[in-house]
Amino acid sequence: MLQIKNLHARIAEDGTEILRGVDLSIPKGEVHAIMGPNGSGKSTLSYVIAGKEDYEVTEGEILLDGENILEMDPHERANAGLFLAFQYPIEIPGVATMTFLRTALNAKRKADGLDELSTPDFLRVVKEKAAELNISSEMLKRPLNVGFSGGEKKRNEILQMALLEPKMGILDETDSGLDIDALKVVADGVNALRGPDRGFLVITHYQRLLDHIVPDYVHVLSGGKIIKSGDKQLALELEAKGYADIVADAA
Amino acid sequence: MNADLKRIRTAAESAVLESFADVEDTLPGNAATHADRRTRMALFEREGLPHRRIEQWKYTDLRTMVREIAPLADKAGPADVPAPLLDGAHQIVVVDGFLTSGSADLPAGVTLAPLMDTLDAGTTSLAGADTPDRAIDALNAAFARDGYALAVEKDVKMDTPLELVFMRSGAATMSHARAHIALDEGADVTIIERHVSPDGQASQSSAVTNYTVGEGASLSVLRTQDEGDEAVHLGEITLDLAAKSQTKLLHLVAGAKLARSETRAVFAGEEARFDVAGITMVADRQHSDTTLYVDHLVPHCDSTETFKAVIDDAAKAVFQGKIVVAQDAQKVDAQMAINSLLLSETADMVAKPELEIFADDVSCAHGATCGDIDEDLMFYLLARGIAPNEARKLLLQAFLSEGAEAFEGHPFEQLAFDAIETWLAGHAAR
Repeated sequence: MLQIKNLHARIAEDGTEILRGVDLSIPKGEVHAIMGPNGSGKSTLSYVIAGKEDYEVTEGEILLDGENILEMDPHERANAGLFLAFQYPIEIPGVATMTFLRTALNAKRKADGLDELSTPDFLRVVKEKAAELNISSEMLKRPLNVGFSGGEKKRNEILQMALLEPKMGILDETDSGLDIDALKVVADGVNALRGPDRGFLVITHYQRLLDHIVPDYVHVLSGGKIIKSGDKQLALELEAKGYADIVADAA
Repeated sequence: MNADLKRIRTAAESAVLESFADVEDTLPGNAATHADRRTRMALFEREGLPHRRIEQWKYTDLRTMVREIAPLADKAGPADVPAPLLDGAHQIVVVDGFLTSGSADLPAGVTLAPLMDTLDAGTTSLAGADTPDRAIDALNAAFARDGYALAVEKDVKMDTPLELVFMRSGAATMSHARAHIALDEGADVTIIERHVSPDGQASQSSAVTNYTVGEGASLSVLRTQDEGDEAVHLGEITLDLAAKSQTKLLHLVAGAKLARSETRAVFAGEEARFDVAGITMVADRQHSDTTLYVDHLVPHCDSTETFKAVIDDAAKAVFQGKIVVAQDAQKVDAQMAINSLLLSETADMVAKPELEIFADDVSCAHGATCGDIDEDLMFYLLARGIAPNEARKLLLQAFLSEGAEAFEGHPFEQLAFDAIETWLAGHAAR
């Protein structure tokens, strides 16, 4: 499970404080959604969990299965079972998608004390999981995310998650830039990965995604703190009334 | 400063002059050739080694950097010729400036004459430009003992690649090799130019290869510079491009302590195309200069210039690229890009792209970037569990591989990937 305790973080470069005491606990098997207005710190939270250097944690801790991940480098966090699906997946010209997937999967296997997968085994696993996400073999041959549509990039993120089988998946505005069909494919992909041993943190701006990935709990992040928590009804309420009332109530 | 004041020669400059005085009468060539040698040497006597006050040498100051000159090699020392990079290639080998093998069993349609003979016969000239920017050619012509003149006959499409090996044996010497390669009309040839020497050996060498690409001919050249870690290497390729010819040139640069490789291409006939790319990988205290001149003298020709460099430790890379489009050379398309990555605080890169355009209906562009590995790209890979050194390697590989884009599907592409892999395994992955 993921536990975030009194997390404070600021932008390393200019010291601007973004997170001001986030407390959140996501037990195994649960899906939690974080919603919030622009600038509330949603993406920062995902980056801080993943270990991006641009942010500095000034207080608090983040525990994954009881272990403080703040002391780990980003790649160690990933290999400990954390997965961040990026809001804007990066294009890397010159790195073939397959090479990337294979390198990532083998890094995880190495960390787990397993041997590297043989080429035929790897290809079989990728093809099987790619098919479920409507990812063509042509797409896999291209350089990573280069020339991919928004939907293709997001499906590629989910494919990576399916291959790496994390304990905790963080989806950062996975719905942004998706039309309704693409959204459904992505949501189905995520739902297929739901299980008793895996938790999810779904960060989103709109309630729409939560129709497809139905959360167990919904939290509202505003001003760098969680100001309200509830069940999935809270998302509907937010959709109907907007953030203004809740933010005003909390103030 | 008193203009009449005699400039003090450096030890290296004195050594070059003394060496020339000592060996001049032993060098091959008829009377005219010898006169040319002395003329070329006169430039050196006047100007010395090229230095930073000569604009084209501003960033590679040989006067400061070359401290010692070894004696001119008087014979080819014993050398183990490396296996060809491409299977079945016909190797023509020059060791310490002397042609040692490759004259026999030439592929059909190819003729070869040792330079020693053509100089004696007076059929090859050593005359050339008398300006300080042409120091490499002048020095090479003054001292050249051997090399060859190679010709590919009209319409000969060669299946066998030619591998032109220029290597040094175990002895620390100065050596100068010169080759003339002429493709007659419609010929089609793949050539690998390979410049190698052993590590730990303070040799100084120059190699000048003059290519004449006939009308409608196709030429692909891979030039690998993999000299030893104490070597000084001066190289020059000239290309004379006739109408409708197609030429591709790929530079792979990883060797030498100090290197300068010049490429000088002249479009002499219309509707010709020239694609030149370079991949430079340097570390430690290496200094590597790639200088390019592309002269669009005639209309309707295209050229692309794509250079990638990765510089680590306290190494320095220099790229100078000058494209000149003459007033009559309308409808020319020339695109130059120079991208470099600096991997350490002490790494240094100088990029000097220049366009000189006198025609008014052309499409020319140049761009240069210089930076560190993109942190966002890096973070994306790290966030997938890939360790920092592995992630770095992947990104460098990707960056450098783009230098070989013009060679997609060509055998040179794989050779470039192999060279990148080898360099990264020894450097960036540590």
